[in-house]
Order: sequence, then structure tokens, then C-alpha cells
Amino acid sequence: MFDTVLIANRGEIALRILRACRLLGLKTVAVFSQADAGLRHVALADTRLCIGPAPAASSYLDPALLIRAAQMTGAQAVHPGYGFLSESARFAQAVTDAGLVFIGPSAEAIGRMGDKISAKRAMLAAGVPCVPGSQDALPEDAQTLRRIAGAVGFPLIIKAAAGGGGRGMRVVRDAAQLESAVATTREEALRAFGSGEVYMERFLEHPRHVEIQVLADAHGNAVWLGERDCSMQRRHQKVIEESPAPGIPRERIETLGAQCTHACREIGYAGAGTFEFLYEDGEFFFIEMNTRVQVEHPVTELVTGIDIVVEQLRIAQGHPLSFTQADVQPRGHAIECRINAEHPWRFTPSPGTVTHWMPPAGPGVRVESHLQAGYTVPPHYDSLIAKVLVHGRTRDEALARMRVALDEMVVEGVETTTPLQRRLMDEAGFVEGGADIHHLERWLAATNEGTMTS
Amino acid sequence: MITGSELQRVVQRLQGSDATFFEYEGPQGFLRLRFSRPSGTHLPGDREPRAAGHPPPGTDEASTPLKSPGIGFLCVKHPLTGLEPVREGEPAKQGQILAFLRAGDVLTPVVADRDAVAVRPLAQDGTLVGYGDVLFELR
Repeated sequence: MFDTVLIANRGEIALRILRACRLLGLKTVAVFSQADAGLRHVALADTRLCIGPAPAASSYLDPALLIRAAQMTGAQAVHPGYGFLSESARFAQAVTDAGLVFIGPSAEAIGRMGDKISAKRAMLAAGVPCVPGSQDALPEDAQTLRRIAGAVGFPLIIKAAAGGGGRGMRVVRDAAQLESAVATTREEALRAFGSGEVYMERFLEHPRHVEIQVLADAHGNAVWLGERDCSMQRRHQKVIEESPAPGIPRERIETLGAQCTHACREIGYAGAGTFEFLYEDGEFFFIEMNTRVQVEHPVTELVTGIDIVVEQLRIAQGHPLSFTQADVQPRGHAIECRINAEHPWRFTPSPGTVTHWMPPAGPGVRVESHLQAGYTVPPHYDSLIAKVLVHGRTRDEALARMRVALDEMVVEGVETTTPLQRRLMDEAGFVEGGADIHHLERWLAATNEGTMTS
Repeated sequence: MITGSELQRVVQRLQGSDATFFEYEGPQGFLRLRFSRPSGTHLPGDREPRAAGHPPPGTDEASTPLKSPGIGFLCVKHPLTGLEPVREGEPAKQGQILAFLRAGDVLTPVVADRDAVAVRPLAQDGTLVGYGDVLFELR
């Protein structure tokens, strides 16, 4: 049982983890780079230690340094947050080997679910629906390749087994493109991810992105906490998330949730996790599992009332889940906007000093942010500066609350994506609900906002 | 006594690491290995050369902070020899070791980044220091 947690992350998620630790009476250690000395969670932590210069490779991405910091500060557990080393099986194993607790699933589970081929195999074995595709890594032999493609059907997509975040993918619309597409993706995958393994799946033309949040403990208990619709994306980066997913029959979601918890038990999963699916024509297809807490986890917290980070900590302490599936009764509708320090239409990063910050408030409004006036958004990390969330009894009420919240929020000194998200709250396709993952890019192209300069 | 092949293995292992020097003291003797590192760096106990009696041109009375190169517990004395590389008010040469950072079994030297007429410690022995924390004032 640990009583001190090292937070191996930064920004809003580091602050979120610190608050959860405090709720449980746990002490916190903030490790930070030189660029992050002014972060709020650093000031609030029981112990703080600058571990390196600004580049993440010399600070947040150095496993040995983080473990050394934990040992020297007396932390017995490490919370990786999201991004950085959160889905590194090697880091999880190194933390465990050092006699510390990794707050997340086992290295074995991360490794298995991090590799898309083995994840898909595990999901098929557990009865979770998957996109039709190759069972294993694609062979070099052209004839076998054509035979597999024929069985999958065109259009299809070639994906890197170790890929993610939209990288290492190539759509193939006919047989003539097949061999060169496989060879190119294989080469890119080797360069980007260190593994040339690629696989093939049927390409869905107009899918939605729907994901199931799960929590599982080390005692064989697993629950699902509803779904999130994350279809509003640009270049595979989520811009708006919501729960529940509009227009999908509840019984379909419930069946899927039960399949996900079954899979958790089958693979011996413990911790928070997310099963990501594509949804098209009434069918779900598993794409990948994220073995960490996600950026958009508060959407689920708003509709279920369950503190996912607190549960992560309790699970890592060896406790059984504090509730059962019957206790999970999603209520109302929640929406999240990811506010990035980026130009709202060109999406170019906008690092700089925040001269004025006034977060929105009011009934049903929640803001997760590390911002404060005078804070300098560093150029070294991702550009997320705030998550604005709303909860309402209905989707219409949630939309109304988000409009008011975004209108009220003030961030000066850096550009943010707020104008884009505010426009989307009135955009017919989004307001109607159920838009697919290409909707935002189509809308941006049609409105020509990409060429606007302000 | 350590054999030649054992010594060779030790050297090979250390050459693959970031170590710039290695010391071992046992009942049979004392082993010190020095690896290529910035010129002018001195090992603990090396009392020569010292800084000249006057400051280098351009520094005069100006003082500059010497920051920690990493994380660790500050050791103002060498754990094996017990020697204090530098005492308050003493001069130092650029590259001279002033203290160590201990992280587990590994010692990292804290090295003067310039000549100084006097060194003033600003962190307590045994303190956990972070990257960039000010450890000494060099005058």
C-alpha cells in the first residue's frame, strides 16, 4: 500500500492527478522540466523536483530519471497520466522492477493491447467485434497479399501494428495500389515506430468514433462507464467529445459495454482503459484499446458521477472497485471542448504568455486547466491548455451551456481554438448529432475557414 | 588483487556508460580510472592546480551561480575518501570538482564552469537537489 505518488506528467492532467491524490490523503511528488517550474501542480505538491531541461526526451520521457526521482523522493507509486510514457510497457515494467507501483495496467497488458495485431486477436477471442481484416502481420509475398485483400474487400486500409494517433496508415481503393501501399506503409512504420509490421482492415467510409470507458480491479471485477462519441476530429485529433453518443440505440451500447468488461476479465486487465470503436451502419468495430486515463475522461465522470482517477489510485492500491455495474447509472448529457493554444483555423501552435485568463463557470460547467495569468505556454509540449466541460439534463441543455461557457471564457496572450469550437456549437451537422469522423474536415473545407487569418 | 582481464572488463563496461571517472577502494588497494572528459577537470583530492590568486580577466568581483547538472543528494565530501573537494572561500579552477550528486550508487561530479577566486556553497550537504538548482556561488 503506497502513500506517496510521483506524478510523471505535466499540465492539466498533473493537476487532476494531484487533486485525486489529495482526496485520498496521498502525498504527491511533482517532477517537472525547467520549462514547467511555474505550473500549478508543482506549487501544490508536497515535494517538487526539477528533473531536467525542457525537451521531453531529457525529462518526462526519461524512464530511468523518473524512477530515480521516485526513489529519491520516497514515492512508492508512479502515475503516468496520458501521453509521454503512459502506454510504455517497458516503463511500466521498469517501475515494477524498481519495487514501485505503476498506476495503470500491467506491462504485459500494455504490451499486448499496445500492439494492434495482438490486441485485435485478444478482442476477437473475447467476442468483441472487430473490423474485418488480416489476422496477423501482412506477409511479403504478393500473391498471399492479394488473396487476403480479396477476402477483406476494397476499399481497405493498411495500418502499422505499432502505430497510433492517425500515423502509419494508407487507404487502398483498388488492387493495383495494393503492393506499393503495403511497401510504403511498411517502410514508414519502420522509420516512425521501429517496427515494419503492418496489417490490413476494411476501410469504413463514414464511421463515427465511439469509445467505451472501463475500470477493472485486480480481483476480477470490471465495469463499463458508458460511452463517449469523439467523432469531431481534425487529422485524427479529437476536438469535441460527448456522452452519450447521439442516436445510437442503448441496447447496442449495453451489449458492447458488456463485451468490453468480458474482454477485461479475459485478458486480466486491471486499471482504467478505453476500448475505441468505429460505428457505421449500426455496427461497431474495435480499433484499439488505450491502456491509460484519457484526456476526455471527465465527460464520463460528469454523466456517471464516478471519479475515474480516484478509482485508478484505489485499484493500484489493491482495493476492489467501490461500486458495481448496477451502480453505474449515466445521467444527462456531457460535452467537452479541448482548448488548444493554436490558431483556431490554421491550427498552428501559439506558444506565449497568457496575459489574462478568466475561466467560465455556472451551473453544469467544469474546467480542467493549469492556466493562470502570466503563465507561459511552452513550445515543447502538446498545446492543450484547458478542457471546458458542461453537463445538462439533455443534449440541448448541454449545448446551450457550452455556448455560454465559451462566450464567457477569456484567454488573452495566445491564440486558442475556442472560436472554432464556439462556431461548431451552432453548426447544423454537429447540433443535429451523429456526425461522422470526417465531418469537421469537410466543414472546414466547405466554409474555407482554413484560409482565414483570424 | 584485480587481474588484468578483470580490469579490462571493468574498463569496457564503463566505456559504455556516461561515467567520466571511477574509483574503487578495497582491502587490497585503490583503483582509479579516468575517462576522457573536458580538459582541466580534476578528481577529488587533486589539490593542484588551483586557481590563481587573482580572478580571470573580465570576472573581477562578479559572482555567478553554479547550477546542479542533474538530480541527486548533494555530497560536499567524497564518500570514499572523505575529502572535501573545496571549502568555502577557497578558489577554484574551471573544471575542478566542487561536490558530487549521489543517486543510488552513482556519483555525478559537480564541476566549476569557470575559474573563481572564491567558492561559496549555497546548498546543504545531503539535500536532495533538482536539475538547475543553484549549488554554489563562484566569485
